[in-house]
Amino acid sequence: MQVRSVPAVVVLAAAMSLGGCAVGGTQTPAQVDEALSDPIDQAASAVATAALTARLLRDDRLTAAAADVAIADALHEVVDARGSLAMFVPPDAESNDRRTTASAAVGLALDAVADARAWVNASSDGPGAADVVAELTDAAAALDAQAGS
Amino acid sequence: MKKLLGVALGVLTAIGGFLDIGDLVTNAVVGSRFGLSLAWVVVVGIVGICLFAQMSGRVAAVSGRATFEIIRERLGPRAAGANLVASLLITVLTLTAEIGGVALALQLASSVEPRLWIPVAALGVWIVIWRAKFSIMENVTGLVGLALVVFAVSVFLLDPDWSELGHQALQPRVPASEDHATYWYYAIALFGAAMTPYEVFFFSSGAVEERWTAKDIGQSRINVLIGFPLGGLLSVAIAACAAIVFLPAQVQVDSLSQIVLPVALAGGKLALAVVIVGIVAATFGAALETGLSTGYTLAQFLGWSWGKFRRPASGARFHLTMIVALVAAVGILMTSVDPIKVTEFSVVFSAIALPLTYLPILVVANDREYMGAHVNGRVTNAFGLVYLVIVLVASVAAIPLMMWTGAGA
Repeated sequence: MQVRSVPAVVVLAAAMSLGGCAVGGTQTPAQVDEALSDPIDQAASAVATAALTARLLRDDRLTAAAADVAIADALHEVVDARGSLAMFVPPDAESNDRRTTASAAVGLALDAVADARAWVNASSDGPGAADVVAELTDAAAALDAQAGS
Repeated sequence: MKKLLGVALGVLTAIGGFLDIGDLVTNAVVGSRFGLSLAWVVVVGIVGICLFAQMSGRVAAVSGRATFEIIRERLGPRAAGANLVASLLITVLTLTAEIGGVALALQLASSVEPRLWIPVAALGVWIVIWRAKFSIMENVTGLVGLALVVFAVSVFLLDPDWSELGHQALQPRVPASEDHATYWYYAIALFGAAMTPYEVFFFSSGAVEERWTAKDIGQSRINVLIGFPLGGLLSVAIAACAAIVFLPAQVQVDSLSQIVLPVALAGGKLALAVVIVGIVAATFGAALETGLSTGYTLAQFLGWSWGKFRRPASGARFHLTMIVALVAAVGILMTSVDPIKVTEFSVVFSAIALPLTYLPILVVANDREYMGAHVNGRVTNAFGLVYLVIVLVASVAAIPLMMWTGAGA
């Protein structure tokens, strides 16, 4: 190979590598699994934190201020997880179906954590402690089902 | 009796002042993901910080000068300059994390946005640095920081499976849900959190501030050798609380608000109040130490007049450096960057800068011209060399592991 052709080969290789990383490019099944399971794990962790916080507040073991901060932090995590799923570009129809059901489970988690925050701040005549804990438990079960699928 | 009280006070402040936001966050994150399987790293880190802190304290007590002044004189401006740049950058990053930590802890007590607390925390740090006596500053924050003992009490109140905890600590292995690269990334982060460079510079400058002489070497050794390991036990207790409550529930710790939940679960509102006070004291105390360390390192390198024992007008450039560092820290935090992320990066970057900090200390502590009969003994040097290898390996591995694991994601 002539020395002058080396830069052209390097540029071509770089362009092909970057092209392979373009949105909608080829993704291995493992990469698809990771892209779908990471947000589910993140949301499940946030829901478990919110549930622990709600139980502690219900049992008068936590102040409302600390509970509000803990649940707000959990809410940020669920929003982040939902954003990750929304940004995921599924490579095929099956992955798209999985993304849709995962998004639904994370949406359920978002509602549950948001309701828990409203209860902590008593800003509405909304759900009571038992309802909040039950809603968080249901959301955790939905996320568990997704994680196991 | 007075001497005994002095020793007790020194040990207690060393325990209470040992933890900072880096220790709090890293131990809780590690506990929630790896249980106690990285507790051995805390032990390695504690032995290392004891070794080099007593070395730098001895240098200051014997020579009457802070370690950084001697490093510049002994190794020349180029080598000392590399040390200065690395230490100063890490210290400002750590200061940023500590002020963020104070703001997050105050948010837990008030639910007021941390961005409103950040300027208040920085102003408080500046006022104390400007007005308070060195000994009062150190003793008050150290003693109030002892409130973090509540983490150790909580471990007992949570009634854990002791055999499981012991198994995790004594037969460490990577959990099935984690990979080896992430395990080693967090090992380096924990090591960096335990051996943060500012600690040794603050320790030696503090010795000069308190006018230690060779007679004080014994007391400084007791403070370090008893206080720091007991502080290390509190680090392990933080990881244990997270391991007991969060690991089985597969909860990942991403915020300071999660770190206090096991304590509230164990001891209710009273324990929660105590832990918040402890976190504010620990982070505020560390913000004072890192703030002062920025002034110490720059002033000692450039030969400016420095020290809190001088009136601010006599050390104007020393005080100006600290004000600039505080303004920079507030500026970084006001961009809405997550203080927990700043903390995670600060401990890893600390690990990267470790050889630049600890090699010069070892060189100076072996120089008879400065140390006379108090040069390092063979055992200290043997440990010192082993630790140089460890810090070098940690330093070289930190960035590749950070890239490989996506910063431990």
